[in-house]
Amino acid sequence: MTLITLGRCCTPDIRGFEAHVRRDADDFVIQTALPGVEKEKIQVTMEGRRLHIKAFRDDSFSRGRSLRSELPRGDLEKSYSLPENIDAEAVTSSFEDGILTVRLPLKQQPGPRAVPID
Amino acid sequence: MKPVKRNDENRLDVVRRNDPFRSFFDEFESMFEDFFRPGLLSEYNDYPAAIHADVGEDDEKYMIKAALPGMKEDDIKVSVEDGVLVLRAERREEEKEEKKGYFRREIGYGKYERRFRLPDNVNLEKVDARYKNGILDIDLPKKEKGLSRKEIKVKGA
Repeated sequence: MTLITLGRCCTPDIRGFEAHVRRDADDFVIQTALPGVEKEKIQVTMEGRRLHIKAFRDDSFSRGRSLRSELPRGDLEKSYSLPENIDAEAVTSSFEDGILTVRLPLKQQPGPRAVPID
Repeated sequence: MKPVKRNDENRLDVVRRNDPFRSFFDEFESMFEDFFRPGLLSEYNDYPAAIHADVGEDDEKYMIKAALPGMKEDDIKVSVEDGVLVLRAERREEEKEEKKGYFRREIGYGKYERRFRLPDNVNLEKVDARYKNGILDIDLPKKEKGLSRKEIKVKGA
């Protein structure tokens, strides 16, 4: 379980695949390299203040024989413990060119509000 | 510790001649033996990071699947130089933003490189490379048996 703390960068990985967490002005972005993984075999789950990323990568070669195997395959999993100020309902994810991007918006702090006078 | 520069190339050549599969890969090991390259996390970004790959073969071809997540086709260059397959990829940073408290770093930025010494029986005319879903997929068809055989006519003096 990787603990994400405010304003800090960590470089966790999923069994050898690169992953980055970055903090922007109003969200956290977790990028995980999952090259060669089918989109259908990726699961992103929010469970309270925990984010789970699960993926399955098939063997590179469906036929023939393997001469060298360097890429992770099989079950790939990673969990993150998120800060309190994440808006769990607004979490989104996308998958492009072998990179899974999970965007975790921060809860909007209510700004000053004019109270109408009756 | 001082790096020990190996000086047994002649001996390695003998091994290469007898073992095409070993020679297929040993560019990777020699890359790390011969150069002192900093790792991915180093500040010094001029040295390319290694590209990780799976290699396989069947009766017709050798196959390479190289992990290059977050690239576009145009970022990737594949060439064969003196019997060595060279994969190079580079993505330049579009914006560099490192404010106080914020940290921006993207997957796939920087230089990547990998070399494979190819076995003699690869048909270089038919090498095919495709990029999809973060994987560079290279097929290296084998020469048909007998194609490398050539009769030389013996002439009289």
